[in-house]
Amino acid sequence: MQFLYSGLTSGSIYGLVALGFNIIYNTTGLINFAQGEFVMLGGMLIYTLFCMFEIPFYTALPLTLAGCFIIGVLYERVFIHLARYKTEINLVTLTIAASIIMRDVAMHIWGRDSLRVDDYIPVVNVQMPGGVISSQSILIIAVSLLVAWGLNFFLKKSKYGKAMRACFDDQTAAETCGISVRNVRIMSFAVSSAMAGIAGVIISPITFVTYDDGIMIGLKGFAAAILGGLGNFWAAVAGGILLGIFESFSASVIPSGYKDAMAFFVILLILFIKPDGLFGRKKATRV
Amino acid sequence: MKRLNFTFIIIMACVLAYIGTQVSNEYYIGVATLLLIHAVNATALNILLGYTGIISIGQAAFFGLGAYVAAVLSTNYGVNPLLTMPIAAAAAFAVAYLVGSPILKLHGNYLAMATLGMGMILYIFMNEMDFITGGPSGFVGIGDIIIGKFDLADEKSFFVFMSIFFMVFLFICELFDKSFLHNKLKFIKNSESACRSYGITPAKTKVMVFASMAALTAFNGAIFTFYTHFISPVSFSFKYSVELLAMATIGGLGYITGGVVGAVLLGLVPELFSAFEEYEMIIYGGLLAVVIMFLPGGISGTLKRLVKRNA
Amino acid sequence: MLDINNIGVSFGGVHALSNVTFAMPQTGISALIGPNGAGKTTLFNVITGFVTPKEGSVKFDGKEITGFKSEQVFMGGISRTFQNLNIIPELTLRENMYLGFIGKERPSAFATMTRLNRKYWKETSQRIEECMNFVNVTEYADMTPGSVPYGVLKNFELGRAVMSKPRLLLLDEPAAGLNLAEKENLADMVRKIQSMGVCILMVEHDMQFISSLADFVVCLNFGQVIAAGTYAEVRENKEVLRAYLGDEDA
Repeated sequence: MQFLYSGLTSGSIYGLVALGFNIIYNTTGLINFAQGEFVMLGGMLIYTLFCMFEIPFYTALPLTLAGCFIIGVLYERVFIHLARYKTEINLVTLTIAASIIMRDVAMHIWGRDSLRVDDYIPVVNVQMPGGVISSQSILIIAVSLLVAWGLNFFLKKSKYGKAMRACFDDQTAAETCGISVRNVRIMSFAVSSAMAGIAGVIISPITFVTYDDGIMIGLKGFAAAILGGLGNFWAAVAGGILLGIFESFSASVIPSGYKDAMAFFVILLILFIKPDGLFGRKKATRV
Repeated sequence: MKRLNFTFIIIMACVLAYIGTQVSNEYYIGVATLLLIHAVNATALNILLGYTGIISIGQAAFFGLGAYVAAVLSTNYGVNPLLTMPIAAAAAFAVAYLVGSPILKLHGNYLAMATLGMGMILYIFMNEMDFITGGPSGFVGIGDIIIGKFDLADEKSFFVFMSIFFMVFLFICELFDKSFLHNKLKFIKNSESACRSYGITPAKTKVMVFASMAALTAFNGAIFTFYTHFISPVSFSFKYSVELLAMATIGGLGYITGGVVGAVLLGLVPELFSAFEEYEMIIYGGLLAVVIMFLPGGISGTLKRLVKRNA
Repeated sequence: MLDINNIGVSFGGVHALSNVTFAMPQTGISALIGPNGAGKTTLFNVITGFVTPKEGSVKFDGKEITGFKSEQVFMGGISRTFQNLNIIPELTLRENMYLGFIGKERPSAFATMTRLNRKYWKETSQRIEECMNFVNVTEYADMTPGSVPYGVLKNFELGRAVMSKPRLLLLDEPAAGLNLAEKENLADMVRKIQSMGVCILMVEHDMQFISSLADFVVCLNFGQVIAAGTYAEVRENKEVLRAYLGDEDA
């Protein structure tokens, strides 16, 4: 049971990152390799504001998210918008380039050490059937579900959300109907950066934050997104949680050093068997 | 069909001959050897990405696989170093074939992630299987290549060996660049459905190209092993894969000169700007982004266009 | 030549084709017409193995080819062209011509990889020149498609598709986007190919083009066959008129 709880915790984070992948994929058909870097950024910003400058948490949090949001906008404007030849391979390579730039800039600003972020809520261990779960874990799970729910609501009901979904289905048609594809694109990068920022903020008290955290968390988030199926938000969360549980159970069977390999193993396995993901729909293609 | 163009090969041969005969500083010769090794890897990736349209961010893993196979076989089992190279290549070929058959059905984003995942798995294995690989602290005590009575222990003789290998490699690449196979790969890169309606099975060809390039990279990895005499997983991480991607892209995708130009240029960055060593990856990333955004075809492609316009 | 039997295809609840049945004559030129979205290209995709039908069968020369992969269909003797040109922009026309050769002969990778196999190299180069002559593009041979007129490219693609000596050639909107002179050129080309003994099935909107070429016409609408016969027969058919002109006169 203990494995289940720790799996749920890390799984919720993967789910959050997977959501970020999903938002960008849904509006632009692009996988943002720098997604994990935004998680790192969220952790770094909250460390700077909350722990270094000792700004109260309820001010530091919105500032952090705003920071991620703005950097997300800049990211889209600089890297994606300026690219002259937007072929898929070019854009993939661009996001990789962006991710190494962000990572190294972060290294120069915050150094190579792991930074410890203070707890936001008092740490208590809650006795649950078959194990204990800490209050931090509960916070993470609750925030993830809340964000997923809020996002779903936003996409279904708000004007922007509908515009985003329209862009995914048919960009040209959306443009013709008066939707500004440009704005939607910027918006989706900004929102997904902010989401990654939230993920960064809530995990950093547990895992601490290091400049090169981004690769692993980004890849696992992607694994979760693939596992659930791109294009579906609840599937992303479910995929994340499944991946987390799977990972923590596998850690009990095989040496823990291989734990990280499991995530990639899952990616490959899913890509082999069912590239659309467990809960994914097929998007019709034309020859 | 196009004529063979040996200008570049002759220039390279002259440069290598000059370094081999005139440069006596061991350090510079060492740098040149490493640049050649990078150039072969970058060219292999270029053939994958620029010619066939397969994006692979796991090339470093094949490089490492070759290096470890050669190191383990020659050190622990006393196999002749020269013999370990084809074995390393065959091992990588087998791995790439097995992994490639399913993942090469994917495109673009998905393929990038899948190859990255594959690279990461191999990297983790290199780190964790310390009973064979020596784990993160590395593998030591690797011997020299001995050909007849020549022991390639010093920088100079190894450079000569590497230069010969490199020139042969480059010659084959030039032949390939003007061959029918090159056309076939470009067809596959541009339109798989058209290929299929002309009776080509893109999947088969892609897997073969992927596996062959993995084998080449592993062969090169084996050479690397006997050059450095010490290998650790750090040399074969995600970072190196990205560096290779940067080299191939900056040099020019789809041009044989691309991989070489990119490798020499990026390989020299840390040497020339040692003050900026800390910023190495930022420079790589920045160059990569700028080239993709503004210079399609990389340096080779841009130069070629300029020459054409002025001609 | 080609027997289409009760083909049904649906994409996520939309019936793209249902109960499509017709038999193509053994020789000559046939045409597939119908309004946009009638399922003509889908039918092509079914025949060439890009789409697997939900039901029904396709027989070529009496042999079942349903569910074959595109490569197998090609090997069986069916070539096709696409609506969009499949001429690679970064290669010259001469290099592009090579695509017509590889599939059928399956040369070994080694033979194609270097020029060391002189025999293969020479023979293939020579045959490519012959084909360039056949489609009258020798003067453009060393140009990339970007700098060659569209009509020439259409001719080129048509010629390339018959290099493998197919028995049946499928053309997807060959005349689209061509001017009158280019259309006449193309029609000559089609006749030339037909006189080589190749059977042709084309999707086309240009009725004049069809009337001058096709011996047999099938009309599709909403995924169903509404008429089949000679051009004159189909033109007089009430269903066909309704499909093209709308309901008001029915």
